[in-house]
Amino acid sequence: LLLAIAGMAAAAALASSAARDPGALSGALRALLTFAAAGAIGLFGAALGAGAAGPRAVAGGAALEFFALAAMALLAPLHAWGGAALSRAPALVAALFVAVISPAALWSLGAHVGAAPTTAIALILAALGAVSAALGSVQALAARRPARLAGYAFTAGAGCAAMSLAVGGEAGAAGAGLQMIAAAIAAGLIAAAAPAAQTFGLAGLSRRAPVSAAALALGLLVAMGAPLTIGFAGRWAIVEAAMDKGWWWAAALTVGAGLAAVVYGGRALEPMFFRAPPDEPQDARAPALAGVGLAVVTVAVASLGLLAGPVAEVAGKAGAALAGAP
Amino acid sequence: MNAGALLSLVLLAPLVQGLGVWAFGRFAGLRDGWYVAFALATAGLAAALAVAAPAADGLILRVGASAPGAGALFRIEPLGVLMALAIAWLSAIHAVFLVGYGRAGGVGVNSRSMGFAALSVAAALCAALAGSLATVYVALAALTMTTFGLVAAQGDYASRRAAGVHLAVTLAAASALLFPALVAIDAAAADPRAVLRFPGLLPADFNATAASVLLVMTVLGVAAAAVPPTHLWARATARAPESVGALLHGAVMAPLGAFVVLKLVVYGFGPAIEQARLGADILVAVCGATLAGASLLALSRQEMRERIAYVLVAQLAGATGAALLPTPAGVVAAIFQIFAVALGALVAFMAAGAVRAATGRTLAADYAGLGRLMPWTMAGFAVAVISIIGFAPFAGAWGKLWLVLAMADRGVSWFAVAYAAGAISCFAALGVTAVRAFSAPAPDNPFRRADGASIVMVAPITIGAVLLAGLLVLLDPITSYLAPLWEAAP
Repeated sequence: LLLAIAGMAAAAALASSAARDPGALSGALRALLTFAAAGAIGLFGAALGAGAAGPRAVAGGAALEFFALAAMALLAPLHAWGGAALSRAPALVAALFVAVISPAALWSLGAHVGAAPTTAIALILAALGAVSAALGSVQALAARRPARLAGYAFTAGAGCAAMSLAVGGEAGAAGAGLQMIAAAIAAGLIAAAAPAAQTFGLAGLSRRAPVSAAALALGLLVAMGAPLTIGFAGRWAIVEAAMDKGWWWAAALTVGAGLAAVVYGGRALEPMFFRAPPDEPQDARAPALAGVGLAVVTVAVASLGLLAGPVAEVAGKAGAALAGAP
Repeated sequence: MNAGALLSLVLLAPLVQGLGVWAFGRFAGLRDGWYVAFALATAGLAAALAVAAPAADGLILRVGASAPGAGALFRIEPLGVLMALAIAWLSAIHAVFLVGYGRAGGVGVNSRSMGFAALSVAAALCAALAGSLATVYVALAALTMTTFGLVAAQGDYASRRAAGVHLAVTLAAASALLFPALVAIDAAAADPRAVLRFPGLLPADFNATAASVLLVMTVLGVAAAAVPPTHLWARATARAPESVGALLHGAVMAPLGAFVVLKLVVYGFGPAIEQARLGADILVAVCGATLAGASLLALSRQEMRERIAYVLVAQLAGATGAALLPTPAGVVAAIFQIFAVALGALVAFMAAGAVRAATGRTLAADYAGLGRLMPWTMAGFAVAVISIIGFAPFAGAWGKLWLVLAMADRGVSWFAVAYAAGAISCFAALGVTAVRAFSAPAPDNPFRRADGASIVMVAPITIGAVLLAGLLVLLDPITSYLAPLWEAAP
């Protein structure tokens, strides 16, 4: 319920930017409807489960909660609201969606599965994860707006995390924990830097808006799972856990999602750093405070990659807690 | 100084070199001095490490945490130390040439490219000395990124396009093939997250099909080794300026690719390589075809730098093929072939660069008679070509001798035919040019610079040529240096 309220509040914030960009209203409406419906369905599911009118009612309640959380976590095919909402959202609102609300929903989904680990739930989660990793990657490849790309990159990353959760065990949970953090960071950075990329264009962005370019580049590198970023540790752990269980398809999908990220990431990075900016003068300037904030976050995330050891440890413990390990 | 400190300094020196080059970019004299001084210092440190290494075999240097991607692990072992020594010396020779080439108005020399060159050397050294599968992957990824910057540093459309192809091919191969292969080896290892050490991580009775699949994925995933179809990056970057090509093809990227394959076979697969015979046979066939075919394709190229790059890919395919043989002779053949071909290609690239800087000539046909005007440069070029073809007593002959013997020992006698075909094509592509450089009459008004090629350009070429002749005396010491590998065999 709290997640639904947070989502609706973010949708309201998105709607308030309609004065500048009327297109934001459509995205805000989709997000509002999704979170309102997910909140209601989730609440109904919780009530059904709490009522304990029999095992079927309990299972039905759990399923409703599960799908409500999956929709809020941007897992495909319930992620249709993401692209529309994020493509027109201001940086802060977009980052709020993909770096806070959806990761929190994914985390809750993990806790939900960990509390009642059954084969059926694990398989449904694995299926949702597989569809998310595949569909999110394909949509990210087709995305032209960086903000929309952030949403789809998150969907792909969250899909990998969901598959890892479904793999189960301490290794799978640790991989999921790391990947959740990586997906949230990647999408958050891409979303935060998206307005600058939208305003100035990608060509020569490193010279026009160096802080935004650095944030965008780092976000893309984390999404790719590039070495020395938290994304690499996450992907390694997931592929290893999936292979251990004999889920080759999950390992292949995780590798495929990384490969797709290399393509869409490389496509964005090349013009940013190796092309000259267009000649026409640009009047727009990023707010100084936003630049400072973005710089601080970028440095923090870069440090996170270099100090991934403690993060991996914490993520492993958190993942184990999700999986219900002692 | 102990071996651990030397290992740290060898890894750090090129990093400091690259950062310093960028910091002093506005002061060309200071920048060039810094660049050469640190390259020579790295070579000295690598030599000291090679001397100290036998007493510290197995020493581990861990940076950061042990989780994959959270840190790096380096290990002193004979193969890695030898390769690090080769990279450091080759890049030191190249550094002197680069400064001379830049001062002669050579194409593609600026602070950006010099900085990326130093960082490429750092990444290559990290890969050579890597002690874990994750570190190998991280170092190769870093090498891809830094060499991308090196190729793109010129900034024009052609460079950017070549760099883009280079990045796309190497990253795609690494992400789609090498990454899952390394994770699978790590997962299947008797001791997961173990350091790379003899006799390998995989158990000797590892499933044969899985071993073959993993071997093919590993070799193709290391795109730097340029085994087709991942050789596309080498084709794309073949037209890079000679100063870039010399480092990329002759010192850090292509030789390191063949070396990483060798390292992963020896320390990763170990005895399980016997289980991967099917995969190894397929790859040896591809390497043989490349050895014979790429030199032939070189004939279709008119630009000298392209010809050298194609011949290099052909010759290194021989080294990669030898690396797949789980025998001491295969290891010696691979390592010696890598050293000889890398040095030969470096000298040939530098000679081509000196010719371009002094005369503006880039086409092989225009080299006729240049030996009469640039005797030292063209003599170096001729020695490099003779060595690459495989004529004794130059370095290339001994690698090839071991290569054919090792292949015959494993029943792959046809490899000698591929080698012979490659040698004939190589002679046609480069040897004839070297002969015509001395036999044809000198061209009129050849120099675009009044003073021709400066000593700073010619000296590294001459030193490289002398080393090509002198490597013969290092054959026994190198074999003895590697002896602990097979002495440790169970």
